[in-house]
Amino acid sequence: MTSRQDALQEILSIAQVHNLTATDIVHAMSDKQEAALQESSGILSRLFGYVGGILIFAGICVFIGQFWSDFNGATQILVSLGTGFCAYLLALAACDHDKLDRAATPLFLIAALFQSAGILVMLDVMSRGGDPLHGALFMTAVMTLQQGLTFWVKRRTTLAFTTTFFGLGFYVTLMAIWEIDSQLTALCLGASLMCVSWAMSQSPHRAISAFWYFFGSLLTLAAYADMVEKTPVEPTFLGLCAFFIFLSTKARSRTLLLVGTLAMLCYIGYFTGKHFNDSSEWPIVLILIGMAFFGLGALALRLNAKYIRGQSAA
Amino acid sequence: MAVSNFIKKNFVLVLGIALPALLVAGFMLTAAVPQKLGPKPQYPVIYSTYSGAQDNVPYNVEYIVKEDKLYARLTARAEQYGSASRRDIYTFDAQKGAVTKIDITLPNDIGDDKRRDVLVPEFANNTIDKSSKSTDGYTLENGSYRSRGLMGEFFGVGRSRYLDTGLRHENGWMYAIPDHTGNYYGNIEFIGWVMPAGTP
Repeated sequence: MTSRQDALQEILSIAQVHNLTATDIVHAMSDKQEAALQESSGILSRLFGYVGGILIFAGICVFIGQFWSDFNGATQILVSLGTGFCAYLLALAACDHDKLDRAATPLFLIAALFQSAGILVMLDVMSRGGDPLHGALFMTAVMTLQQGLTFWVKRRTTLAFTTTFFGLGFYVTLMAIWEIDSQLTALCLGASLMCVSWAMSQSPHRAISAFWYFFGSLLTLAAYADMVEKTPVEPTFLGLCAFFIFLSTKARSRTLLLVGTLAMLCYIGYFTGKHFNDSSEWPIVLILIGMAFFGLGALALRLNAKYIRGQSAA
Repeated sequence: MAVSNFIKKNFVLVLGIALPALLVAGFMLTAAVPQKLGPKPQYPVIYSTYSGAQDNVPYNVEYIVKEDKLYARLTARAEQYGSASRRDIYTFDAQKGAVTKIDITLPNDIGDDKRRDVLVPEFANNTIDKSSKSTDGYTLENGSYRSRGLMGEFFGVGRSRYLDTGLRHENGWMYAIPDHTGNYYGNIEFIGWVMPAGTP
């Protein structure tokens, strides 16, 4: 497939996700002046929105940092949880106004950060001991619920990100409390994240799928490597890497391709070091296998063009 | 109808959310069900722990089972400085869920004896079975430290966790021994099972 075909495929999937018709795309491409105007105003409002968010965040942090030790427990809760909740309400209000919409993203992020920290401060101030993991579980449960429900109504990518983040934290904490084996936890959460990322990549929240693909694939591969290391099924790790590379072509994810490829290279390096340390034939075998794969790739492309695509068109 | 449509449409997403929930639910079931199904240990277990008490008696104390009876073995100390090595004994009765410390009265000295065995009167009428597995299939499992899971390994906020000392059945379930002074990692030594008097 050429890069031109790749680009067209990309346009198609974006159009599908955002429900764009051919007319919309043609209209946007033909009216270049309008497109340029929208692009520059979009960049500007985004830029000011982000800078504004950073300044607000920095201001609140500096204020809290300067006076934290002077605050009593109630004030500490108020400046952390209270600030977070105010930011959350402001973000909700900003969502409903076109002119303030760009401010909603940084406000939602500030809210997520301060509310989660605020809940932990509240638990620290008001609790009478106990396991800190139970506090973390409570915080992540409340945050997942709040962010998830808000996402359900507002459908914003930022909220999809924070919901996934706190949801992941919730499950990690729950599994730690139940003392589930760390490799099993990582494998399960990695696979779960991969599924969620797949769903994201097929939705308007595609922008954050790469991040979660990266994290999910890394967790899955690391856990699986730990599980099968020095066992007779160790070479199946190579199969998992190949599966991830296959998945990357289906999901059209460069992140997944990168992780899968790096993992495969690392395993080949590890395998070579372990079994063929002083063998001069092994690198040659690897090069020959690599060339065979190039050949197979070209053959697959020809077969696809000649039989599969031709038949499906028919 | 709407729910099943949603699941069909977002199957991968639902699978992703359900996967960890199913794993946790499975672990909750496997942790809870066997204990509910399994019978409690029938016989109290006797174990000893190192005593932290600063004792200046002229002998060291340990506990042994001899001819199915429990004895305190008092051994003359080679050096008289420092404190004596001494163990405390406890019983754990899983039927009551209670730990009892056994206080026995020992002589002030053992005279010229190198070693003297003193019968523990509390169990004078009982048979003590010193085999590691009880007749109903339980063994004393020492507490151990385990990683606090992924939280600790990835985010560095966890801490290693002490897994309880307890009576583990051969089929997997366990009755934990409640915390008490001396019940800590590596400090518990199995002595035997308290059987009713006259048990062969």
